[in-house]
Amino acid sequence: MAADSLMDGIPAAPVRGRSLWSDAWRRLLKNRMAVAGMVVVSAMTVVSLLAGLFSPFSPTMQERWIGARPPMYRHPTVKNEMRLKAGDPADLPEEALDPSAREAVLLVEAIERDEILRVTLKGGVIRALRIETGAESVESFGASGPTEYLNLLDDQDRPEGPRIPDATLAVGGKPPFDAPAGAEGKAVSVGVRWVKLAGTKPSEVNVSLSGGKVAGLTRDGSGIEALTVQGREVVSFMLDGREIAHTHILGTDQSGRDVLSRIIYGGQISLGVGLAATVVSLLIGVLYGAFSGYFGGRTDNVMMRIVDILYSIPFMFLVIILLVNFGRNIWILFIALGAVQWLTMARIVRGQVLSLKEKEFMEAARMSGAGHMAMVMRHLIPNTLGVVAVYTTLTIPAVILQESFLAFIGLTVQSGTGESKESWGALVNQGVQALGSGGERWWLLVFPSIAMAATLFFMNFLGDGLRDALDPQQKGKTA
Amino acid sequence: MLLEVKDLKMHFPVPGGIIFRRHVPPVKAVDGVDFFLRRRETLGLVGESGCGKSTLARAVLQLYKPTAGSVRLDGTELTALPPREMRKARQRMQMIFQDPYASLNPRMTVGAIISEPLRNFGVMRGKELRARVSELMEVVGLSPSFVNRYPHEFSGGQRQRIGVARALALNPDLIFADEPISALDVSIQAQVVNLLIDLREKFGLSYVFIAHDLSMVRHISDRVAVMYLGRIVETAGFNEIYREPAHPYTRALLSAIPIPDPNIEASRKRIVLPGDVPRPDQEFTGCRFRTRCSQAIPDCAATEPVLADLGKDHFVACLKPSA
Ligand SMILES: Nc1ncnc2c1ncn2[C@@H]1O[C@H](COP(=O)(O)OP(=O)(O)OP(=O)(O)O)[C@@H](O)[C@H]1O
Ligand SMILES: [Mg+2]
Repeated sequence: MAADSLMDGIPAAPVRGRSLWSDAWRRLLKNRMAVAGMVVVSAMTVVSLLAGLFSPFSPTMQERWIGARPPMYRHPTVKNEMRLKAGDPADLPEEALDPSAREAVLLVEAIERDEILRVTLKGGVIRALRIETGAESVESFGASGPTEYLNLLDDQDRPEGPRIPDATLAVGGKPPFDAPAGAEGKAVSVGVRWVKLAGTKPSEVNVSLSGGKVAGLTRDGSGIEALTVQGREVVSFMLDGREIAHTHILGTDQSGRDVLSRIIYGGQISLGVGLAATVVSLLIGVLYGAFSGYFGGRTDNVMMRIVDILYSIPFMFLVIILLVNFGRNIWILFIALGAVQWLTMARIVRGQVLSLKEKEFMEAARMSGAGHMAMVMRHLIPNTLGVVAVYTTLTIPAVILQESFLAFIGLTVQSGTGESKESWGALVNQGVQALGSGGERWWLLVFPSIAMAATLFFMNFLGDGLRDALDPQQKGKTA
Repeated sequence: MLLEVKDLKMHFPVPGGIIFRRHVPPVKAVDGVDFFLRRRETLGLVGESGCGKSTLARAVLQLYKPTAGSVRLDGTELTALPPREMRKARQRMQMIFQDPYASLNPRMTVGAIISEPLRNFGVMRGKELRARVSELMEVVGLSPSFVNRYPHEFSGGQRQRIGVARALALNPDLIFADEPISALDVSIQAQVVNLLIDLREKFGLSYVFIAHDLSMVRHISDRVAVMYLGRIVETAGFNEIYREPAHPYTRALLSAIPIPDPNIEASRKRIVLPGDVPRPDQEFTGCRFRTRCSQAIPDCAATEPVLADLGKDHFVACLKPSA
């Protein structure tokens, strides 16, 4: 028997086989909608996973004085937390030779009479607050007591020392150093000198203005490790000759939080819950369904009746009770939502297995001495994965929707540290509440909704595309 | 005697009634089959579609638990073996399946399929295993470079060769080939039959070769068994049965074989059987073939014929054998 004659038409060189998966992949790539779905979904996933890189702001950073602003709102400001390089200690003024002493000088522009400047300090003691306006002295500096302008905060941000009243500054004179052009005559510099307490974290000085603008910031003496400056309406801030400004592409909410950042971090929660619950349902459902279908008969009967019973439980209700009673723990949510979804997965896999186990390759496997484990894990489950993959891509959006529903009715989840995690559903909920009678703050509702709708939409595209690519009717005909 | 099957029965219960149980007669796919197979012998098992050939093979191989009867392999009673022992006995018997498309797991590479029996029984592993797979692929006429390909990348004939390689992996004594060629193109059928013949010589195999007509088993069989509705009605050496068919059903089957000589072919008389095969869940008295038999006598309805020895290894189950 000439073996070679049988291999006509098949080149001998390529050794790697094309699995059904690679065939399906090829078919998937031909489907434009599915490719679009794949691109969008992957992009969403990557952005959410690397939220820290992609989101312009912290989702919890509040700039209350900004309030709700429409998309593309731009306000030049200092970075929320800015690190300054440590300077040369030799530059320190004489009285600050104490190695733990720190000083910063703020250049504040056009503070009007009766406007307020507040200095708070974390992890240190304010030694002095000096106000310089160049040649002329400050017109007035009001403080209600000699020591009361010290506001000492402990690690938990609780006031520890004596409270300070608001220091009231009046303007006049020239700043003692290079102020931005045009700032002469109406700027005032504020020097803050403090001592780091032993064992405390790097100090942080917080200056807030009820009026005026921060025109500049300089360091005097050794560097400040972190300095937070907040202004009501801050003009451009220059650092090393570059302007630092914030643009809120999708606007801000009433607390001045960046909407885009909140959507990106919200995606992390929504997609994360969707994915985690789906993985839970996948693990339980596939194994349960496969073994139920494989053993068949009475075992199958009992196992499927259990599924029927669980189906009849109003799960949303159960999830709500669980969340209310055991705290809004994110893990409870994963498990609860996964526990609903696995039922369908188990049914689907069982149906597949029932038809697969009649196939001759199952008998061939038995003839080959395969045990129950090998039959299920090696022969049955891999052959159900096409359908499982399709159903999985359709489960993720379903779970996202369920989580959003829960969040919408106010059952937002919390991370282990008790910090509230706001998913898209929660954002939509807040958007509805903040909308205003005439829809003035439309961006708070529209953008989170778009993010959620687009994700669900494209995930469904991808799922449909996968189903077409893995169409069982085409299986085997591709030989 | 390598294999001895006595009065083997395989009845499938039919679940009756949706709510209330009622008695539904079982499907008697195999209903009292006797045959034997000598070492290095090939038995051609022939019968119409649905007569129970595949079921017989599965019952013998203990893929189904037979309803009754005895199956002895080298004197060991298989029907009484505990599962663990049975698994061991499986190494000596293998099967080549009817459908070369459905009998290979589409998610496994050819290498994984062929090596599966070896891995399951822990015969060998690693390098040795890979060498054995290459060897097997060469033996059945497949290039070992295809080892990482998937079944759907092969033609029907090539797939059947993969199935043959898998059956050979454990060096069995006995192979049941269940219509290994009926799903293939006529041009490829001969190649696969020739391969099986070559392998028989090379490895000293014994076959039960199943087909639905006599022409297919012509080249490979030493003996032929003709099956009708769950029973073997005639068995004899191939030449014997070809020359002197004793059962009317065998004669009808033989008349369907075309003869290469056009002159004889023109004068060939086809016996066309009237009526249909009765359903296998029907209750019978007497001969099962009598409803379609032209020679039936009243006695056929009363007595069930059993295989009677005509000498020269020729057995027939007919009250009026035309020998
Ligand atoms: N698992 C089963 N349950 C119930 N009935 C069955 C089962 N397997 C086979 N049968 C019935 O038994 C009879 C014989 O089937 P079998 O597959 O053995 O026939 P066959 O001779 O191999 O036919 P073919 O030439 O088409 O392969 C058929 O009527 C079939 O419907
Ligand atoms: Mg069959």
